[in-house]
Amino acid sequence: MSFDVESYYERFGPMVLRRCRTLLRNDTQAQDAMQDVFVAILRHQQRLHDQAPAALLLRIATNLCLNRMRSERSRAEDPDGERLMKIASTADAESEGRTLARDLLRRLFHAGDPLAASSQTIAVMHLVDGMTLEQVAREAGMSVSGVRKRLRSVRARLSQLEGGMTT
Amino acid sequence: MMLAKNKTPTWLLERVAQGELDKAEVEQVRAELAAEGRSLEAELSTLRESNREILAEMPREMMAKAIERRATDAASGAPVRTPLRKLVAPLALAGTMALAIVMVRAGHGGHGTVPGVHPPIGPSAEEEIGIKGDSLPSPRLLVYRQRAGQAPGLGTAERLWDGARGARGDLLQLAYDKAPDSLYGVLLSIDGAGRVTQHLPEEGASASAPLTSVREIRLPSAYELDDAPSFERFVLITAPQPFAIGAVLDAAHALANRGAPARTLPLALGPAFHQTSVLLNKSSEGSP
Repeated sequence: MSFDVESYYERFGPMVLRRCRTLLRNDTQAQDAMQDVFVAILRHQQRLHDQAPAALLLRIATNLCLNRMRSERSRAEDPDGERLMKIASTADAESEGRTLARDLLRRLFHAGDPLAASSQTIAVMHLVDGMTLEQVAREAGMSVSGVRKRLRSVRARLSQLEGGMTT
Repeated sequence: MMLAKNKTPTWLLERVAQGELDKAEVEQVRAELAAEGRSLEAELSTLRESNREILAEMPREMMAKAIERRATDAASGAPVRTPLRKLVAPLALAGTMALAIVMVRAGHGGHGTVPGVHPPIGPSAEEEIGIKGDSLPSPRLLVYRQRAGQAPGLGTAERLWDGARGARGDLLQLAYDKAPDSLYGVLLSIDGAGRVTQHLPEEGASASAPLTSVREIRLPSAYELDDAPSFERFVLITAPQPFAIGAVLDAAHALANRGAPARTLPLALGPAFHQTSVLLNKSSEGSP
C-alpha cells in the first residue's frame, strides 16, 4: 500500500513519539527515532497492508528504539531503563552467537527487519510493558508458544550477559 | 528476575484510541483499568490532549517534509544516522578563532548587512561556552560585543557568555574555534520575534560550510539585529559530512515558532548533528 505521510503522521505520529519517549527518555532522541519510524514505513510501504497500523508502528518504534539504545549505549537511570538496556544488549549477544541454529533462528525471525517483532521487542512488550503472553502473541502476530520460546531465548541471553558481567 | 508492571499496558490504550481493538478487547481493557481505579475515557482523553500538544509543537506539514527529506537522505546515503562521536577527529588544541560580525541595529525591522569588523583577540583556550545536545567534541561558539564608539580590532571587545544580557544597538562578533578536522557547519540565530537568520554560510547557499581550525574564517559581511524582544540565540550546527541547509532551517523555524522553548531547546535534528549555542537575553535599553 502507499500512504500519505502527512495524514499518517497526523494520525500516528503522537502515538509513535510517546512510545519513543517512553523507551528512550530523551525528547530529542525520541523525536529523531519517531522520524526514523516513518522513514522505515516509507521504505517498506510496498510490504504494508492496512490492518492494525498502530500495532505495526508501535512494534517498529520499539525495534528502532532498542537498536538506538544498543548503539548509543544509553545510561540506565532507573529500573525500567536498566531492564531495557539489558534487553537491548541481548541482541549483541545474539549477533555474537556462532551456532548455526541461532543463525537459522535469526533468519526465521527476520531479525533486522524493522517491520518484524524482534525477540527483544517481544521481551520489552512482556517484561516492560507488562503485556500477558496472549497479548504479546496477538500484537506480534505469533502463537503463544512462539512467544514463550522467544522469551526463553532472551532470558537465556540475559543470564549469559549477567553472568558475563559478574565474572 | 523481571517483573511486569501491574498496570494496563499503554500499548493497548494506544490501540484502543486508534480503534484497532474489537469490542470485547476494549471491554477487557476497560475492566482492567477499572480494577486499577482508572477510567478508559479519562485515559483516552489524556491521549487526545497529548496528540493536540504534539501536533501543535510538530505540525504535520513540517514533520512530513522532514520525514520525506530523511527518507531521501537515507536512500542516498546522506549522514542522517551516523553518530558523530565515531567520526570526528580529536579537538585541535590550538585552533585559531574564526569570526563573524553581528551588529544589533536599533529601529530596523529586519537583519541588514554592514561592513565587516576586525575580530578581537580571542579568549583563553580553557574558557567554555554553553553547549546544547550531547557532549561530543565540537567547535566552540564565541560571541563578543564591540563597544559603541570604539574602534574595532583593538582588543576592546567583551566576551558575552551564554545567558548574557544584550540590547539593540550592540555590535556583536561571532566566532568559533576548536573545530575538529573535516567538519561542516551552519551558523544561525533565532530571535524572540520568531525569526531565523542564517549567518554561515551566506543566505542562499544550500549546503553547510566547511569549517576549519587552521586559519581564521571571517564572514564577508556583518549583520545588524533588529529590536526583537526577549532574546537572541546563536546556534552553530555541525556534522562530519556536508549536509543540506533546508532541514536545518526547517528545524530552526519550527523551534523559533515555539516561542520561549527556543531559548534553550536544541533544534530537532538527528544524532549526526552537534549543536552549540549562545543565548543573549535582550533588554529594551541599550547596553551600558
